[in-house]
Amino acid sequence: MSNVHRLRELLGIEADQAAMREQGRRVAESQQRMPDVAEVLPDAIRQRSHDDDMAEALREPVSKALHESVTENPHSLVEILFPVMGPAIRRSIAETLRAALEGLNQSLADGFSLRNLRWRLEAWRTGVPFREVVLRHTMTYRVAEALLINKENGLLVCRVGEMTDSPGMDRDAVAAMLTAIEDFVADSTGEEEGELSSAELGDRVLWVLTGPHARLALVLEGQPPLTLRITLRDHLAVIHQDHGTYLHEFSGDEEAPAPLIAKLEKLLAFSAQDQQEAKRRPPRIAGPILLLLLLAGLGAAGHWFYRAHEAKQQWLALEATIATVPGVVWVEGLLDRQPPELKLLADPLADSPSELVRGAGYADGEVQLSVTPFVSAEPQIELRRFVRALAPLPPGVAVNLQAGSIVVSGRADRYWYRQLAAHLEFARINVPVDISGLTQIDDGSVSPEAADEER
Amino acid sequence: MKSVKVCILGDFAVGKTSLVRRFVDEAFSERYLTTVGVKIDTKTVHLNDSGPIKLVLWDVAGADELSALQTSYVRGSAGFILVCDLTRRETLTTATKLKSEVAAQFGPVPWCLLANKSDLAQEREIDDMALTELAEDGWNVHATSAKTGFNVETAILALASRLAAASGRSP
Repeated sequence: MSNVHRLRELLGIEADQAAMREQGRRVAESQQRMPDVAEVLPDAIRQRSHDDDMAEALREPVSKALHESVTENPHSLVEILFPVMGPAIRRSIAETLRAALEGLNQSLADGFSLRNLRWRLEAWRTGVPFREVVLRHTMTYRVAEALLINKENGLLVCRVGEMTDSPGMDRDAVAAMLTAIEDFVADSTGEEEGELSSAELGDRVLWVLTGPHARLALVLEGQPPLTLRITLRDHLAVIHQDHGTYLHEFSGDEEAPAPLIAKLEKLLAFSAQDQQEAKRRPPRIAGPILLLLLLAGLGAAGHWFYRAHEAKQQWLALEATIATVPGVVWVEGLLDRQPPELKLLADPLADSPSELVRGAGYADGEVQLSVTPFVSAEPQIELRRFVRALAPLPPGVAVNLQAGSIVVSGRADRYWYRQLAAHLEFARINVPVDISGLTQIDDGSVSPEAADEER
Repeated sequence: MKSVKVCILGDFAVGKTSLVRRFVDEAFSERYLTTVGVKIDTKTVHLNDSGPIKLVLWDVAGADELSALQTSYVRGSAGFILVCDLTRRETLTTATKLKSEVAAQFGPVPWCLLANKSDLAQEREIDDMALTELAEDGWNVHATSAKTGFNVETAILALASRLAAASGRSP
């Protein structure tokens, strides 16, 4: 080894040069390998497309690339996703609406009217779902005219429907003016894309829906439901999906392709309640029937209220009657039960509770009567109890109730007199007894027991 | 029938709307011009070599340069008409400036210059020599008078022929 070579080795020049040669070789090789790799790369990816490792490896770079692409040019992504996202969102809304319609369907199914029955018959006859028949008959609008306008140049791509407003009005001018107004709105609001959503044209409504390459302007008569916009947007998305390139490159061609015109003509089918049909409709008979039903309902309600009032009055009368009857106490009355329930306390010597209820106009069993016996201390009952205990009363004796006291008067034989005295001494009487008007006579009478002993 | 969008541009009060009024049967009120900044009219012309063609004329409100809104109005035009006033030299400068702006933003499209108010011969600030020089530079220049109708239809039909020939190209 020469000194120069050793010096180069000591300085590390040899090693550096070797490393550089190695790097150069690798670069050259990678340049050479690139076409080979490019050739097999699609097949390699395809081959391992079901491999989780491949998906894992691609996830981050693809995500990053997508993120940067969206950040730099969101508009292109919007255009790409427009045909996809629009229907997805609208489908979700449509599902919600469908649920609401199902509820409507149920309500209608529960309802009854001649019209309802007629629609049911129509649904059955035509095989169309009932809710669609109802919607067809109840929505009052129609698409009178539809214009498809190129978004870039404002030129009319095609139009269908009748010429609304003045027939001489040039639709190309209308299309251009709508475009100018939308540009004006966008400029005024500072939005990148203005959208003239709707405008009123006398008794008509103008709706404008904007897609990536074209605007759809519709002249509607009547009162279109807002849900129609969802359907129309779907339609516009389909038009863009099928004719996007044509619309993008449109420069005032003589006539639009027939399939595009056919799609636009379908919009005219979004109408309901044919005016002629409405005029031909036979005189309604459901109205008087409904009126009769309403009157019948009112009559039934009135009758029910009257009956309820009458029952209440009858019940109150019974309560008032019982309040005046000695020896009977009203404990609880439940008129709202079926049958009404009545709980009473009644002295055995009082008037019969069943008779009292019957006397108030109730038939047997019409009131569920529950009677609990008790001993009443009311003067009338005390009087009855007094008379019953000393019965039979001698012919010349009278027992009355005067000012809350039992008054015994007349002439009584000795035996009965002693019996009275014993009763007064031992029986519990809750009212004063006045016998000052009673005279004892000695007529030789004996008690029945003494007569038996003598025999 | 083929339709083409044509914008009419020029400085204030050069007679753009009068020229259009002279050329077409009006469809819209001129209030639109002051409100939205553009007035739309249409005219179907019959050309000998290529049949009928419908011109959708966007009469853009006068300006010495294009605003963002006016730029959006010009977008998608198949051609444009510049208008200057022969009695005001600065309007030719504005027309030149507008032509450059449109060309820069939308590329080359057929266009022409209508040098209006040729009936006011005594007040002219732009003489025929200047117009000739412009023509020599490749400009399609037409001296017109909206007041008398002089050369209006001829000039616009000439542009329409070129638009029909260049059918399919747009800025």
